[in-house]
Amino acid sequence: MIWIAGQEASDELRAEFHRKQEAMRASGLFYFGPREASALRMASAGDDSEWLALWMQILPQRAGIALDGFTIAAQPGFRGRVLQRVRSLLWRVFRYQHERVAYRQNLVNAHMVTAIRFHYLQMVNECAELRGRIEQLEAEQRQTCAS
Amino acid sequence: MAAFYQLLSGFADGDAISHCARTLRAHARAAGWESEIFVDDEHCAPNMRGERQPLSACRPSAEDVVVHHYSIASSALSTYRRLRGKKVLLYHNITPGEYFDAFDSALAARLREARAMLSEAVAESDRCWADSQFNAHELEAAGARSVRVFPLAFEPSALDAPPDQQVFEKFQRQLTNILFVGRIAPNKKIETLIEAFCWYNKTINPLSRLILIGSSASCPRYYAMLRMLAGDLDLPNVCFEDFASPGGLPTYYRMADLFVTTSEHEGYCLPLVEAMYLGVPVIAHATGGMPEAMGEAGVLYRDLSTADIACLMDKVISDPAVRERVLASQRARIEALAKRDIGAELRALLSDV
Repeated sequence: MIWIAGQEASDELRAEFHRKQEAMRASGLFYFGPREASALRMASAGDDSEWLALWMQILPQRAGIALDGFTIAAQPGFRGRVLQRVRSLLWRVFRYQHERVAYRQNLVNAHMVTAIRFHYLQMVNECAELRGRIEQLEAEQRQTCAS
Repeated sequence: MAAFYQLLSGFADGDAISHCARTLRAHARAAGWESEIFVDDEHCAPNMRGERQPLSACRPSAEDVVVHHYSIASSALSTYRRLRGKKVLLYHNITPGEYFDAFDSALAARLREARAMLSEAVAESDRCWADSQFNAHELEAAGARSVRVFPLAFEPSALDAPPDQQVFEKFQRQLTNILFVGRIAPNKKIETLIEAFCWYNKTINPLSRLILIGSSASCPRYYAMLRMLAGDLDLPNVCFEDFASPGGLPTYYRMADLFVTTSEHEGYCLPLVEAMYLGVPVIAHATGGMPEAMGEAGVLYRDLSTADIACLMDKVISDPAVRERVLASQRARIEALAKRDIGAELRALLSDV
């Protein structure tokens, strides 16, 4: 349902939007990616700790820089088209150096993510151990009180 | 003359409830009332501390009016419940806790607590005011009788500040600017806006950017998720601009070609009115108090996919006839709002307490 300036305009726009969306989908310029790897998965977490667990799960999939799929948009007009060609050419010329920089950066990122993951797992284990000890102490205390 | 005291759960620049409280205080003082705002230190922005007093300093007499701006469970509510005086509950709506479960369990619990205590707070109040009809219905459902609607006060003078040169220079490059202003919080469904912008940017107009204005501190985990989403969708033109300065905010509005909100839950939504005032066409989700804020102006939608929203954005931006129709309706809405006499409305409400 759409209202423009207080008047319903859904019927007026439906056919137009339908046509446009066919072209948008056919362009192949848009891809959401698999939902199971999407950042939006975190919105489904039940609480803070589940959110953190999901974050730790999907973070490693994002640690790397990929140099594929860059599109260079053209500004309108002749000047825009010329500049786009120049930028495309420069990108091709310098891509190899970018790949090397990205490789080094990805190495750093991978180390960082691994360190965070180790730290997180250690924290989870320590918390579980502490929780277990508290439960054991409480059980002992209950037994003492009862006897 | 009796005093007019307001109790708030938080006090900060850029916050709609704080803005409302300051406006009411100014009008009450102009009408000859002694008027103060009370907020606890820990929930008050450092730059605002001189403007308010701590909750413990609020000692009304039986004749004084005490207004509590209710939106969350806080120490302000417990203070309000134990104070004497003529009590008024001004309801700004409570965001459902479910929105925050994944991102901030403590806040979700405070929101649920606020909802659970709404009926009691209503029962202990002499009068109930709401800033939209939508909020008034919720109050009535909680047992309130004869709720008076007092829409959020819009003071255009705050938007007449000179432009922020830094913001202007940063965004002066000729791209189509789509703007969102508001708390970066899960009920605002900014992920829907980012996906809609993705359709628009990738398949309709690559020379466009989405500017998100709102504090990253409201819900840091939600903010982190949104940044990750923008990265996943390869959208460098989604600009997370955090909190805007008083001069920066009108500059963002003036540079915007379109204002869009895909929020699912709003009590009123003042940024819609601000955008209309500064001549920016508005697209808003027809939910909560937003249809009331918009009146018969701008564009409202319901049950649209993100691709549909992208098409709607394009329609408003690139169809001159639609754009002019939208802007004309918004000008009429702003003219109607400018005719409001907030001082007279407040006096009428107070005479009834």
